[in-house]
Amino acid sequence: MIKVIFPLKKTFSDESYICFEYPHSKIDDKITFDGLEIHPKYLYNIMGLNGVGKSTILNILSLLTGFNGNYFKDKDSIIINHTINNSNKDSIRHDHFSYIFQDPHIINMYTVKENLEIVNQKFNFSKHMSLIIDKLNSVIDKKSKKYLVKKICDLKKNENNSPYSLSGGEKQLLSFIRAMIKPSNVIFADEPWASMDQNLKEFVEQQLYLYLVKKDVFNEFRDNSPEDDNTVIIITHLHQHKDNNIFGKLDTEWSKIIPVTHYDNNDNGKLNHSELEIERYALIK
Amino acid sequence: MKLIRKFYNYCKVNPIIFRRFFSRKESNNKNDILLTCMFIILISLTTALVFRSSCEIFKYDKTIKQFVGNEWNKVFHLYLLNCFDLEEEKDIKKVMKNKIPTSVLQFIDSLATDEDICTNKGVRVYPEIITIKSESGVLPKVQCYKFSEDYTYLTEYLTNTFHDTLITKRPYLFIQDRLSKKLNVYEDDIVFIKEAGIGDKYSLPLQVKPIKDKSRVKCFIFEHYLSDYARKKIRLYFAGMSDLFDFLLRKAVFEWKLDKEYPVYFGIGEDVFGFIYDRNKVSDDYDFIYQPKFISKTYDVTFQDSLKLLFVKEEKKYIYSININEDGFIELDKDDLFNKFLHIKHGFNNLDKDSVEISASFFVNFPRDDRDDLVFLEFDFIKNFTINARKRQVELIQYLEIAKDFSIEFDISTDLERTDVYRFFYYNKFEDAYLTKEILSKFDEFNIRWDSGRWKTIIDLNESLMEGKENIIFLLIISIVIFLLFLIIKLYLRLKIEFHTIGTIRCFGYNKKLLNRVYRTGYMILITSGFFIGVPLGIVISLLSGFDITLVVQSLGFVFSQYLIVYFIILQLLSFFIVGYILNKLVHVDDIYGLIKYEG
Repeated sequence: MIKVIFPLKKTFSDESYICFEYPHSKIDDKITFDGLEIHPKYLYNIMGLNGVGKSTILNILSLLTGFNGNYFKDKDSIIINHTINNSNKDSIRHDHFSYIFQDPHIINMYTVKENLEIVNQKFNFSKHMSLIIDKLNSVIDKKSKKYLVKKICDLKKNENNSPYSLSGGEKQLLSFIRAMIKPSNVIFADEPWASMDQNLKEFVEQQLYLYLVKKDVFNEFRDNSPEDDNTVIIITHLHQHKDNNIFGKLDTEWSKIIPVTHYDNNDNGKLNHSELEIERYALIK
Repeated sequence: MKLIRKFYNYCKVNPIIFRRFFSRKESNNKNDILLTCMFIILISLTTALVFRSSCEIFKYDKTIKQFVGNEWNKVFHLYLLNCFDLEEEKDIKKVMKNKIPTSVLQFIDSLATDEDICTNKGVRVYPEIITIKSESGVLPKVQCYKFSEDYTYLTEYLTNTFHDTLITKRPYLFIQDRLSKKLNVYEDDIVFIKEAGIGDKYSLPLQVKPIKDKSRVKCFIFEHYLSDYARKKIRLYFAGMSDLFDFLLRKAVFEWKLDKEYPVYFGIGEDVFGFIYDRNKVSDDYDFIYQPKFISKTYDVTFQDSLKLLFVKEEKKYIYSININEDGFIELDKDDLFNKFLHIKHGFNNLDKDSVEISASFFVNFPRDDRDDLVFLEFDFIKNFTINARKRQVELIQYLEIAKDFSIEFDISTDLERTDVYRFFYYNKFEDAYLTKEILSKFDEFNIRWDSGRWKTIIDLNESLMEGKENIIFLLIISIVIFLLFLIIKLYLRLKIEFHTIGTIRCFGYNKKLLNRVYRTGYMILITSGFFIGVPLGIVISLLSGFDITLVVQSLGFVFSQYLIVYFIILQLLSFFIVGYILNKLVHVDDIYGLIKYEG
């Protein structure tokens, strides 16, 4: 049972805030956002204007970036009753977290095959990619099936090549598959479809949704404990949501919005919320 | 096993990450290979140079060990007669009087502080020139040292045995193998010696013993054996009276012909009791039998073709002349010696078997711990040794075949007067360079005559060795500095390229311990490869620079046990710590996302 809770508040007087200072910024910028509990089986949308610090928040939540403050937790959480040290962070990332970045961040010095096998040592590229293709043939609708299968077959053909030769979309697909096959309970995704065409984007959206209920095509390769529930924390933009896709529906029973605001020191300490954006979130909600 | 298992577990790394440490899968990874090759070549070359320098040190070390291993090179005989101490005398004219300055003697005595340095006064310690004869050869003019039994350090070395076991009355001629072969003699054979150039009278029979170690000493004896006062006799030992009489009656009388010119004594243990072959003298007056020493000095006795036997019963003495011939001779048996004697025809007819016994005191009165069952015949060589050496030796060897044991007995006059003029000086502290040089300069200053050439040789060798050691340490330092610079530059360059990879790997949960392990193990393998390429390269370089192949092969053990292994361990330790330090500084940061983004 995974439950990650960040009891964050707006006020700086309270010690339980997230405060991140950009190392090379001349202005004392700080990011803050509302208190947050992240629960299993939920998909969280981190939304905000460009440059507001969405990725930073995601990185802080996913333990990829340090910050001024502490992680707190309750007894049911994976982070128990003390400040997390680096060793625990490694262990949590290894056992529970998975990532899809805005840029694919594929390791170019490894082959395509190694890029996948490095995150899951039980993953046998040749054998399991064939299985994935078989599954895709059975679950995906006819319209995009052929295209998807072709893309994955392309990856398979390049298994012993460097990912240098792959296109941006293919790299993003590889990055997505890498995140999906890694044993995890929480996927952190930062605009995972940035370089993808519509077909791939829809496939990714669908699989992320199915990840919550463990029905995605990659589920069997993750080898997770059946009792653990999954969570997705994703950065998206409002314009990316349409009525005909899953994220556009934003059903409140399984989906939450995390609005991110920006605190500007130059404005006499007042909170400068991006009101417009928040209102638009509210409308969607 | 535990250690090996621990090491194995430590080296157990993710195979993909480990494989990609050595070769990146990129379109152009030639630079990686080039850098890695350069790194290995650097280690190989430095290893080869260290190997070559180690060979040089080994060469010096070996020469020194050979030199010092020869104990004779630690022994110097000093001739002090014409030495002087100008500081003491102040007047150069006084120097020439034949007096050894006290300061010189004090200096030499002050050196003898421990077992590594000692000094002995000598009688005439300079070599005597002798002629050695064996059955099959003659060696004229052999330089023979005469050592005192006090020179324990010398005798122990030269004979490769403990001194105590040598101090017997047995006379040995210690001789080099080469000379033994020339003389065609082996251990325990008898040779005869005389002073070279003085007539043909060989005055001394000696038993051959080998000089075990290589030394400059060709042969030596203990000094008292050449004394004019020594009385020399040869004894043949028999297991009992039965064997003795067997020898006398059968071998000596018939086969050996008894044409000897020297007296024969008869005794038990080490005491001469007084049995003598001389028909004329004994038959006239047999009282002298109880005074064997008197007989030996005053009577010019000879063997005859018959034998007198003395029998004693209380105060009565019976002496019988026995004419032996072939028909009357029978085998003697220890158990009933007397009965057997009765079968001998002449001389026993009027002898009552119950009223006599055959010199019973021979058997019981002189027991010895070591030879209580042995009786002996003793032949005096001192005045009758005029026949040529070869014939004598043949005879002695015949005795040896017959008798149970054999010895050459000496009455040694041991209290020889010693003088300060001759000194044996034993020095075993060549590793103390300062003292060694100090002694050399002092001896030269005192005008002592000695073999300073050998002394200077070891000083020169020690200096070369020290210089070689300094050079190799300098080489090690330079090599280590170059290695460090190269390692740091290579690591920095490589890590800059690999920030993204490392960040991504860490993002997926691989901890810093694993990365440290990969890099450390990788560098460990690179260094080990360089090292093992460097060793054969070092052998080649050593051979090309003129070292003998045997020396190079011999030096392998030395090289690996000394500088090369130290160099290897230092490289490994340095790479272990430097890699860990740089990884911690550059890679193991809180901002993993920063690493991932680095590529961009």
